[in-house]
Amino acid sequence: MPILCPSCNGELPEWLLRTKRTETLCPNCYTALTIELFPALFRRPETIDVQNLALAEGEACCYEHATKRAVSFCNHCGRFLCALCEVEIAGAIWCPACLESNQGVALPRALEKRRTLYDSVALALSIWPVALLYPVIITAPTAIYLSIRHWKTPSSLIPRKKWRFAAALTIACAELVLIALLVVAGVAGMHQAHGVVVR
Amino acid sequence: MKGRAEFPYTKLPGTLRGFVRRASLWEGPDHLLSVTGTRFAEEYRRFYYRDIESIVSQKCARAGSFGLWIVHVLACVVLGSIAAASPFPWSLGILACFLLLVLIFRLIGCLRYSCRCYIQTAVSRKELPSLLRTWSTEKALKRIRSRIEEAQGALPEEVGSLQEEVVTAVPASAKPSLGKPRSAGIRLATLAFLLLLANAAECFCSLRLASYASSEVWARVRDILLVYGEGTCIVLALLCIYRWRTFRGLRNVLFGCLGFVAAEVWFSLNFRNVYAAWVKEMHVVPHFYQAWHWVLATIGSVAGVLAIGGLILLFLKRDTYRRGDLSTN
Repeated sequence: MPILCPSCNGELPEWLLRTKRTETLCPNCYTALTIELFPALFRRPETIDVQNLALAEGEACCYEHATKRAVSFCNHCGRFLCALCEVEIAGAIWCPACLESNQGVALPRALEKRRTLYDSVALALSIWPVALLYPVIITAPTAIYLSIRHWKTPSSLIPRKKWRFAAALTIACAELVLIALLVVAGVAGMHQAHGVVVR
Repeated sequence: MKGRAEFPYTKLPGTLRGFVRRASLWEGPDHLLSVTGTRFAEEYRRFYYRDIESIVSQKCARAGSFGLWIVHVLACVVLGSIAAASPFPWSLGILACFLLLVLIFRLIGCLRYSCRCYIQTAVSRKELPSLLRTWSTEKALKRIRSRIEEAQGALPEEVGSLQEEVVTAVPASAKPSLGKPRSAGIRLATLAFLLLLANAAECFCSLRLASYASSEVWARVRDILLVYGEGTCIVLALLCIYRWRTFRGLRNVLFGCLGFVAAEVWFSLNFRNVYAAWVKEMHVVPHFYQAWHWVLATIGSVAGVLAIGGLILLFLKRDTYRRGDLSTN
């Protein structure tokens, strides 16, 4: 893959890439660039020996490719895999089907692409609707539900404390108590207005 | 110990913190983890040390979080206003000044010390959004570099021309041989902008002096010297830098200044006599005096904007101009 200038997307000429670290200007757009090169750039792509892949008499074949020799098996479903099909992730061998369907096993951390931060959602649900007052009737119970439901759900790959859940729970509970008090006060006021004595 | 095993990542310098958008970079045992996302979700991208081919950082102005800018400016304005109206302005005034100083430093950081960093593997090229200031980028890259070198080893021997040291120049064959030094052009442009600034100051001073009149010979001489000095400097600067594409921005500003000076000369030649004829009545007839007042204010403002804009451009692009070795056409 050629090295491109981030500003103009023009391919940087070879004479600029003769040093490990270069501070220069892009010859096309004159943007100041610092380019660092690493040995992987000069590495030739690995070639697979087709002769070794071919199935010989008495050997196990790949589940997906009947003419290819099996070299390993999937750690999750046990299928035999050829060199083309095996995928090694964090020390475990996966077959393409298991990898795609994530069959019966939790997705390894090394494959996770996205996580929802339920603690932030719960906290936002407990705080922001206060400005509009009425939505609190719905959002406070939702925040409590989310906090309890996802208390043990792993929140983020990077360090993150659970104080948001605790804060969301506390605020949402306080909101519900306030709403209950307001309702009671309102009912009492209505009774008083109608001349009913509330004991 | 459990916590460390659970989170095998170490935070790298540089974080993008906005009201909605966030980004950070984490150093893992065999890969870099770029975390981007909103307040409610995170997205992860892994770059394995063994796969990283290059890291390109582009120096450019970056604002960061716009929300923080708005809050910061609002805080300055509100605190300043309260301090001005307060009977004890010092307490809040000092805080407002401090916030203003921080704002200025942030502005300088955004304009001068910001960058975009891109990481390239064999199959992709992605931006690292958390690395937006040059100092954090340097620190982060220092740590990443050692990890990559551990994973990838030394550079291959067949790439014999690779050197260890940092180079700032380009091969001699690629250097243009245009002969004339660029610094002369930059100096002349700076002088032109300073003269424009003096012109603006002179215009605004004239507004305040009621006795200003064209009959004052020294004032006419000063005007002529300023205008022709500006014009000469601009033309010479343009001649010096015209062939360098690196100076496109400066060239456009200088052309703007030249247009302004031409308009000013034309205006002076045509209207100076009218002004001289009416100058006595100006103090008597209010709308003539007002019109002349606005003409001077406009000239001063335009000259000031051009001069300050040009000087800011020179300041911001000084590295580019200094290293403009590649500008061949």
